[in-house]
Parts: sequence; C-alpha cells; structure tokens
Amino acid sequence: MNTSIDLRSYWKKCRQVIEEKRALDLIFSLMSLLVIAILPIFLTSAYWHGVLVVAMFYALAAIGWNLLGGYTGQFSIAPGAFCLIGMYSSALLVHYWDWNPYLGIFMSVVSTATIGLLLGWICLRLRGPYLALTTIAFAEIIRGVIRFSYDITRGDLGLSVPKLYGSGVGHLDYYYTFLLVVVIVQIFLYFLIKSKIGLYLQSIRDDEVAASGRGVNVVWWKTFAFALSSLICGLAGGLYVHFIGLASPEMGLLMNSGLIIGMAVIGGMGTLAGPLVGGLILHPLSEYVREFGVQHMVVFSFLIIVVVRFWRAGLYGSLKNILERLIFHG
Amino acid sequence: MDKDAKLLEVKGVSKRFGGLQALRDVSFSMDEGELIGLIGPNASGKTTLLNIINGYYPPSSGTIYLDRHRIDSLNPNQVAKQGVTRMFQATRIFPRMSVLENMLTIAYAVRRIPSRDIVQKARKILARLSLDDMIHEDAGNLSGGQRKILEFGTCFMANPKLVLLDEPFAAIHPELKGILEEFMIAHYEEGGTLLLVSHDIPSVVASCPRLIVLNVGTIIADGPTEEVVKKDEVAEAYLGGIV
Repeated sequence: MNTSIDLRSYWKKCRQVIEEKRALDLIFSLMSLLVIAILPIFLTSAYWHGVLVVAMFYALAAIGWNLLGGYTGQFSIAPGAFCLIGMYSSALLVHYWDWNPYLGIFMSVVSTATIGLLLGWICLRLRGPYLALTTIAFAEIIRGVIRFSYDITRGDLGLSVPKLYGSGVGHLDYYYTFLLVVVIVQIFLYFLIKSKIGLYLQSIRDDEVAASGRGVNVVWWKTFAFALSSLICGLAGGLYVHFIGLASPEMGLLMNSGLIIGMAVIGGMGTLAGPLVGGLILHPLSEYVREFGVQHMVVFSFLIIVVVRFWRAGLYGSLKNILERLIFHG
Repeated sequence: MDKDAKLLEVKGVSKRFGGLQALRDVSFSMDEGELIGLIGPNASGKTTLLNIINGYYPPSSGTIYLDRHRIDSLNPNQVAKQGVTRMFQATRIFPRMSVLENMLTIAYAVRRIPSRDIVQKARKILARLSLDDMIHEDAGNLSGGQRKILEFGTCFMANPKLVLLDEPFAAIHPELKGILEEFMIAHYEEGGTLLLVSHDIPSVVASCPRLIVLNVGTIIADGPTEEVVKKDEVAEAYLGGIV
C-alpha cells in the first residue's frame, strides 16, 4: 500500500519535472541515440554503418537548421551551403597547408559562424519569401564560387582530403565520433532552448513585433541564431568531409538543402528530437528505397508528401503530442 | 529627483503617414502613479500615439521623455528596458510557448527584477489572473479571453514604470473583464502608472481620474474625468451623450 503511494507520488514528481523542464524532448533524443549506440551489436554490415554515419551527418545539419528555422522562425534555405563551407574550410587548410584535420574542423566551425553572422546581418529585415530567396541566392553564390575557382578547389572534380581515422574499411570509428558529437550538440541545445536565450529565440519565431515590445533585442538574437545554426551545419560539413575524403560542390545543391530542411520538418520542426528522428529515419529510408531504381526519389518524395499532409507536427512532433496527452492529461 | 519632473512627457508629437496626418502637435505629461484614460473615435490616433511612445514608429516631429530620458529615438526593446510595457489592441502572445514562458520572456529580457524572483512573480500574477492552472499549457491553446489576460499579465512582470493598455476590455467575457479591472486598479493603488486606451467608456470613466480625448490626431480635452465628460466638444466628437 505504502509502496503504491510512494510510486504514485514519485510519478507525479517526475511528471512535474518533465513538464517544467520540457525534458521529454531530451529524454526521447537520448533514447534514440542510445538505440543508435547499441545498433552495431545487431547490425554488423559496414555498409549500413556507413549509411548511419551519413544519416547522423544529415541529422546534425537538420538540428543546426532547426535552431534557425524551427526555434527562431527564420526560414533559411542555405543549410547545404553552410555544410559546403564547413567542408571546404577544412579541406583547403588540410589539403594545401597540411593542417591537422581536427584543427581543420575547428576552422570549419569558425568560418561558418562568421559567415552565418554576416548572412544573419544581411537578412535582418527580411521575412518569408524575401528571406528564402536571399538565402537561396547566397547558397548559389557559394556553390558557384567553389565550382568556378577551379585552380584552388578543382571545381566539380572535388578536392581529396585525408580521412579522420585513415582509410580503413570499417566505419565504426566515424560512427561513434558522429554519435558523440550529436549527443553533445543535443545536450547543449537542450540547455540553450531551456535558458532565457531559448525564450528569446522562440518569442521571435512566434511574434517578432511582440518580442521587441517585450524587451527582446530581435536584431541581436536573430543574428546569433543565424551564426549558431551555421556553426552546427559547418561542424557537420567539417566532420563529413573527413569521413568521405572528398570535398565536392555537390553538397551545396539546393536539393541537399531541401533534404536537410525536409528532415527537420518531417521529424518535427521546433522540437529537439524532431530533426534527429528525421535524419535517422529518412536517410536510411532513402537508401532502402534505392531498390526502386531511378524511381527511388519519386517514392521518397511521395513519402514526404504523405507525412506532411497527415502529420503536420512531424513524426516526432505527433508522437510527442500523444505522449504529452498520456503523461500530463492521463 | 526633481519634484517637478514628470514620468512621461510627450512634447509636440506629430506623425504623418504619406498624405495622412495621424497625429498633430500632441502634448501631454503624466505623473508617476497616474491612471489616465485615452479615448477618442476610431482613427483618432490613439494606437499611433502608443506606437510612438513604445518605439514602433519614430515621430515625424516632437520629443518624448520618460523619467527625463529621451526615448523617441529608441527601439521598442530599448523602450521596454526603460520600463514601458504594452498590451496590444489585437492580442499578441507567443502561441507556441507555455503560459509561464510567455511571462518569463519579458522579465528576463528587460532585466528589471532579480532573476531569482522572476518565476515566483510570474506564478503570483498568474494566480491573481486565474491562469495558474494553465501555467505549462501552450499559450496557443488558451481561449481568446485567456490570451488577452495572459498578454495583460506580461505587462506587469518586470516592475514597469509605465503600462500602456490598448483596448484591454474588448471582446472579453464580463467576468474576465472584472479580473482585469480589479488587477489594473490594484496596480494603480500601489503607485503604478497606466495609460488606458478603451472604447469601453463606462469602465474608463469609472476607473480613470484623468481623461485625454483625441480627435483626428489632436487632443481636444485633457483634465479630470468628471470635467472632461461634460465638455460639449467631447460629447460631440465621441461620447454622444453616453455619460
């Protein structure tokens, strides 16, 4: 009897903590990442390990975009361009000056944050289609500059760079490196979103006019969101280039930005776990439907339309709504 | 502090939007602890005046001082940090944030009370406004009236020097209106300063000791409520014999 009362009060306390801290997102994120951590025990194929490394790259880029698009409401269409900048920042330093790849990845972060800051400043007064068009134009400029600077970047041929862990066959080193980075970024973002900075960003997303009237420095926090979001995409790009060993302007294609945004939207925009879920499900799924041959993009795109039509909150967003109803409203 | 210094001084403010003269040489001042009703027919310039005080529009000419600091060239967020809070005519809340987060945002942003007191203050205000049961609910799930109350509550989160209320009583249930009126009067009696814009003349007359009447962008009356409502030009412009 006493035990049941204890359990009830413990459950009530847990619910209160989850509700107040909005920890459901973090719990679900970490549980998903735990599944990914133990998956290689059951899934031993090096091919699928590689697929999951790429999925984590996309998830990381989607997580970065989600900070800007999902939490701050700034619909940039340039996440692919920032991954590209991250890739080439490290690739050029490592290729021409023999920099250590870790230092190269660090410079990817620095360069994307700086360029993100600049783009954020340019886009400050732009909203909706104007913002989207400006970021598309920016992405095309970056891709064009890289493609046509053939003497430095080797254009469409791409620039070969050393891999982070040498050129062995297995991918498990990369697998756990990406996993660790995603875990760190998710925990960092959880605390950021829960902090007053998170409140400022979300208030800008919900109503920019009201946010400024309530003391939020909209100019500063929008620029900050651009820089941090770009930094995360740059980090993803920097890691990715030392996984595949080749920097190619293809990453800057609008289709790739669409894919990254699609992952965030289908997973659940404006949630911590949504982009992670989107990346981890959609990339392996797109690999899986490759057996439909050239039609696989049609099948993939159809799946996207179905999800967007019937689960507007995204896969995780819809699940979260159900979980919240169950936990908080019985 | 200078004994004669006013909390708010609006001096010769005019505002023109293209060919439309929205405000013409508007001047008035407010002492600390005053509750002033600002009334006038539609399109008389009431909301424009609030938008200028608030920093959303720069005045075409004229100056505004708050506590002897010039604020007419500041951004809305800087004006808020000076202690001016605002409730909008069309409700503006953050629908995807919880009720509590809506309250916390302004308090953290304007930094006018110690961080450690913010959550407790929010809970207190929400309890007084009967929103304490919905503290973790997304604000977008509230009813229209509750949203209005929430926005009203945010205005009092950060020890404001001046609260600008634009039509707080419009389109809400009389019971909810009673809660707002009670809260507003209590704030006034505790020494708070409020500028109330409303078309709800009986409420304004009953609660505001001083009344300013705007008509076509010009102040046509400013004084004790009982005197202003008796003026012929006010009755003609707006009141229509209601009082």
